[in-house]
Amino acid sequence: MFRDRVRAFLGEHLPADWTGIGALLPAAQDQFREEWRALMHSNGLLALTWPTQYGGAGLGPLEQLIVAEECTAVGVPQGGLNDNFGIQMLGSTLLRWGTEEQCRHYLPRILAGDDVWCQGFSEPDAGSDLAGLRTRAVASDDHWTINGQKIWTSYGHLATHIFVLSRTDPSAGKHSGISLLLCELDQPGIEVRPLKTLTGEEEFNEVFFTDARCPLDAVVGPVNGGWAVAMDLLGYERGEAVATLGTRFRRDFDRLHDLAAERGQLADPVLAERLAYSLQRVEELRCLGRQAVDGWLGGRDIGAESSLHKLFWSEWLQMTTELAMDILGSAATTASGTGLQGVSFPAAEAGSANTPSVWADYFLRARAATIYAGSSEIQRNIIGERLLGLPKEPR
Amino acid sequence: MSSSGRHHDEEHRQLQQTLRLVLAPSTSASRQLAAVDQCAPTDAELWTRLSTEVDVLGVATPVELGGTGAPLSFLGVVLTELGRALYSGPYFSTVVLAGQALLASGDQVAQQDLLPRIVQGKLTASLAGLALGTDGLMAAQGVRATRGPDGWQLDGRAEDVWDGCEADLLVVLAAADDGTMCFAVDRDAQGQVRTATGGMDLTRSSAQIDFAGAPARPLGAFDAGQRVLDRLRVLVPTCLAAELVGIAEHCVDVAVRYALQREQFGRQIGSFQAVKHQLVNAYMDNEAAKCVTSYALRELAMSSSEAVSMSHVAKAAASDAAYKSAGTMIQTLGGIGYTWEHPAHLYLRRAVAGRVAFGSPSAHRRALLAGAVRSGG
Repeated sequence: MFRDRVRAFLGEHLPADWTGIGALLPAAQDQFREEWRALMHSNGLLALTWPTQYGGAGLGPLEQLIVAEECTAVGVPQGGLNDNFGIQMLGSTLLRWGTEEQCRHYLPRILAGDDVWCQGFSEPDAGSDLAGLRTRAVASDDHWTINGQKIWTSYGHLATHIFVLSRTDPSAGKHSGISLLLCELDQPGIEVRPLKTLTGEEEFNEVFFTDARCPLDAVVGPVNGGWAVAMDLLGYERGEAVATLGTRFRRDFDRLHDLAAERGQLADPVLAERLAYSLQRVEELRCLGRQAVDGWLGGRDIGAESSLHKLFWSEWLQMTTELAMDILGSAATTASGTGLQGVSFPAAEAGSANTPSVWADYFLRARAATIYAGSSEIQRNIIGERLLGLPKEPR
Repeated sequence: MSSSGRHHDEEHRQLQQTLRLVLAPSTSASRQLAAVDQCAPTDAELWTRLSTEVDVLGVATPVELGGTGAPLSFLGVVLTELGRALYSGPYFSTVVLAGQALLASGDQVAQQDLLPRIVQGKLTASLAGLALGTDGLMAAQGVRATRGPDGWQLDGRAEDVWDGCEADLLVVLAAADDGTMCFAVDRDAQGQVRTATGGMDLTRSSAQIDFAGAPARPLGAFDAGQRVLDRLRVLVPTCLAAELVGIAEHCVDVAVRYALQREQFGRQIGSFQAVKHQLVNAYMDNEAAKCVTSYALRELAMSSSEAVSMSHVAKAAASDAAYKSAGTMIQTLGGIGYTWEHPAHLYLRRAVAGRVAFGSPSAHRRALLAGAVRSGG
């Protein structure tokens, strides 16, 4: 059985006292992640659903799910930080829209770690209204020349390449003249500047394009037909997260519950009721994940339902980290010492210390959850319009 | 949580469609209101159709007792549709409360006598002797059983007995010297006064029953009372959650239809984000409540160790969802939703009553949290 094989792999390669990657210090986390990813790759556990000719395992969604579940259960990552962009988003999109030549060139390089991808979609003036983007690309004989600015580029400082949504026909309609270009970051026309977030960490970047170049054939899908490609790509964002987030958040809940018990706060009826509600909601989330998995294995595309999941979990996360601050009281506001280690996205990594400073960091980090990957307002519009059939706001 | 087992999606859908056709006439606003204003008795014709045409009175009863032997998920589908239609007949009391109590009692003689008649629509029943205990959840309370020279008899008062005035048969949980026992009391037995109690919910009748030396037949062995109670404490909240999901979904459907049809400031009100987002909030909670309820029923059917915690989650989630959806519906409807003639208030009333029945959301949450403490430490 495939699950047994995955468990055997995990049992063989993890130390007996392993509690999760969150227990490691940041530098050790980075090293572990890199080595672990290579190990997953050499054991055929990376890019499970990609065809074998491109270096994938040629397996189906069930096997992908099993790897996700088992990795989550023991608290190890399923790949590197940028694999969400390289494997899930770009890889899946290339398999659907790319040419044979593009697949043969890019896909194996992603798996080998030669090309590390980041995402160039949002701009300072194009956030929720993504189609309002203004980064321009002009074709000449053998290359595109790109000018403009991208922002909120997660892990851009770790990447070698960026997929850039660019306006390639300014005279066409808002959604019509857009193309998805593949561009190398290491060139004179590109500058990546880290952006310090409210947590004090550098997770995002700004990427400036000044006469940057990419080859003429580095376009995914049709030229000027990139909007549909981009929407497809966003659909692959955190695909199996739906299946595993409930488990990861339940682990967060259990840690908070332990903390409340340790600090004698379960006797406070208001805090106890809020904790109980958090537990109820995380159990609802686990069921929603289970339902999505059942549907997914039955071949049903979850589509706009993914907006429902995103809205549900991001609001749970904020509610629960706010509760943590109230349970900890002044211990959280005067916390010092080791906080949340590594990037822990979006749930805290398994093995994270159960201390006030970790929860204080987690609380701050959770403010982003209702903004990134489609703000809660946008998710509510999507749900209202696509699942309830309500009319769009007149524009 | 791994995913396994057949989910019967297609069969559920067919049952749902059939029920919607049968229930459609009773869902009309004018019919619902007429029933309330005239205090119309139970729709006997519909009861017959449910038992014969759709054959859902035996949906959770084994084949050898005249039922269809379907998994509990089918009972969930029926209850959700009855909730949607605001069905006022004695389905929940007969099939869920009394029927499941009889099954849990283990009394085969009584089962063979009574359940086939229930399945055929010839006998209505309910359950008495339950109240909310100190933990806020179901407990046997109010009725005392003693053994006299002529057999067992009951004394005391049973509150909130659903469809209690009309029920042909009462299954009664009562305290005896050796613990909780389970009894059957016939409609025409002496020593009982059944009084209809009015209140918030206008579409479900309820009664207070005073027993004074009422003769009663014990059901099952000495431990049957406790077994019935243990089973119903998990099953009844889960089943009521399924009904509340139907209430909740109907409310959002009505509100969405209205938001598409009603225009103000020259546009459909559903295009305003202030309206749209309220509807989405209710819809999101309904989807989650529906999901947990269906998994709770599945865990229950498998007698899984998660059945208890899932029943708490389901009842809390569905209660909150129905309450919020009914409120959101009335807010979306505006003034018309506040009138007597619009059936919106009937849904709100049912939602409020269902919310507190068999354990409030906070009582179920408390129990959920307490269970998490035990499994965690």
